[in-house]
Amino acid sequence: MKTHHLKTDVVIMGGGLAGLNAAIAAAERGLQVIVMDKGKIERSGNISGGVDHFMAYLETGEQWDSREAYLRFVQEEGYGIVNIEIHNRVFCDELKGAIKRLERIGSPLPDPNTGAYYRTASMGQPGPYWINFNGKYLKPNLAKEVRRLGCTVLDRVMTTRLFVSDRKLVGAFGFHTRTGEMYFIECKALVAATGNTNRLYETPTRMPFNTWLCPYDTGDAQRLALEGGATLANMEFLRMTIVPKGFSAPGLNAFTGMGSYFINGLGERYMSKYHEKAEKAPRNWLVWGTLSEMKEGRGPVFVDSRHLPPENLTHLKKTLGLDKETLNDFFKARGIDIEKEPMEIMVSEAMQTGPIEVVGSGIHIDKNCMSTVEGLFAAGDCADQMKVVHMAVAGGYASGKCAAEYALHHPFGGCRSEWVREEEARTMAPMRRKQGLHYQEVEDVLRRIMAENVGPSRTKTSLETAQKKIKALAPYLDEIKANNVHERMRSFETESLMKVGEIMTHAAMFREESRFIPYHYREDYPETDNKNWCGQILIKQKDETITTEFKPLNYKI
Amino acid sequence: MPPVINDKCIYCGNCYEICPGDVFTWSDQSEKPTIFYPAECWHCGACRLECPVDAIEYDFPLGMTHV
Repeated sequence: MKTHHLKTDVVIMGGGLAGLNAAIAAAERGLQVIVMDKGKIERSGNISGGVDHFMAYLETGEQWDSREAYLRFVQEEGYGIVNIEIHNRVFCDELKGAIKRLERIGSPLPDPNTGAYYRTASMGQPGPYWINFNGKYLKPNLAKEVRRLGCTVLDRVMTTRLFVSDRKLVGAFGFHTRTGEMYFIECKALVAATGNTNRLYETPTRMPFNTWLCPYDTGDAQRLALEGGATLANMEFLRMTIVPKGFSAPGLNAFTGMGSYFINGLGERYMSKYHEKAEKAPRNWLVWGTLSEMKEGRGPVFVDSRHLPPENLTHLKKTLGLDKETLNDFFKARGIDIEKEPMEIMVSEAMQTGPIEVVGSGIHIDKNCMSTVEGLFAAGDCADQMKVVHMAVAGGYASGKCAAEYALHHPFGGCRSEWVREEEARTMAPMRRKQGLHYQEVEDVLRRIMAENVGPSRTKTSLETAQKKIKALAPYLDEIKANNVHERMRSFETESLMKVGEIMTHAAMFREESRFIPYHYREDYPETDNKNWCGQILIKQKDETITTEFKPLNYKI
Repeated sequence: MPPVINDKCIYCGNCYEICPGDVFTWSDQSEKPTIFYPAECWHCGACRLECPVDAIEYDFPLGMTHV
């Protein structure tokens, strides 16, 4: 199989929402940019099929609508693991530019019919920070801009290795997931932007790809960055949400933002028992309340929208289709009419990602979006301080700017030819095996171990059990047989999932307290302990051994 | 579980080109693309959004509609 040798200033690993904004920033500064993505950048990543919301303050003069009020909210919500200085720099400094950019490329945030922003509040916000907008063509519009700016786009090329020399990033390797052709790229800087880890836990429908967020996001960047010597953080947290029964699809904040109620099997509204903001509480409380109702025998649970005024119902229905293109088809197939009856809901599968809308997990970045490896930057859901759409757009651009600035002042590093040979052999090994396991067999066991032991209820014993079982399962990665390059892509993802599961278990074991319950709920340490655990768990790997350390965070207010 | 390609298909291959999960195959350009990895579909709708002739429909399994 042919290996292409390329050289560029900046590589973007992952052409999702964050990656494309990073590519635009670097290309606008006149640098040569290569974007690599497992899919095709017009429709890849978490918003492949569209999105309907963007979080922002707009400085209208309302008390809650300022940078200061927003940062107070971020600090309160992300207390203990959010770094306000980074948030201020990578989000707040970039927000106005992000809003203008979305308008310029043809996906404006204001409603084109009225020219006004349609704003709603949920998830604990002090005011309506969500802007509802039509993001159905956001990805294709960004992709068009990336191509217009002259970036080289390697669609369907999966990154399988980051080359690091003397703690500096010097290149990357990948393969085409249809042809098998390989790519060896020397670069001055790289932005990792491959999203969170969504296929790590059993799903309620037992269909591994029926996940709330993109099932093709499998923690590849977190794994490769760790292998390259970078530090990860916030990896102990899982995240779950509330979804329609049977379909792990986004849409929750559309319901709660419009004022829908959660009711239990007895017909009672239950969220006010768990949080003063009831259905407008932060997501972890909605999950906690719903899990509790089910556990205590008051299921099944429903979302009730019948009381909403007709104009709100119309808006809600329209918005749901923007966030998940196929959701209305599902409602039709299941016979759901949200105007006429409550819709049954369920708690989604867990995933590894930042616990709330304003704090991420993954590659530990500084205020210039750089990791602990020089020249390696991170953005979007795989960076420890970025999360969801608003930060992917604003923070993605910040990371591209910083990577470009770095590339302008640093020469190419030294890539060694033996690395290419090693990587060619490693990449193709599962296809050369005459027989072996299917990737799904290994992955299914991993998902079960995670769900049973590293889920929304954890103890030292359950985490030790997971560690032992993952250790015993890991050698089977070397027995996976890939029948073609597509299956090789999947088996590489299985390897990433296993690594993320291992890291997550280590970090969860280390944090002997509970935070963002039930996203890190240690039944043996059920209280949040701000005296001893206000800070991040940092993860490193040396010679296959994972180490953990605590980095305290101090807040001024 | 996955999308179904109906008879309106004009064999343009957009669905095969766009799918973020690469679940389609399309070896013969005088025929419809086919769903080769149905269990890996995310129901994101990208194929339908890019289909010029409304040839994509969704068929949900009982495991989603009747649980």
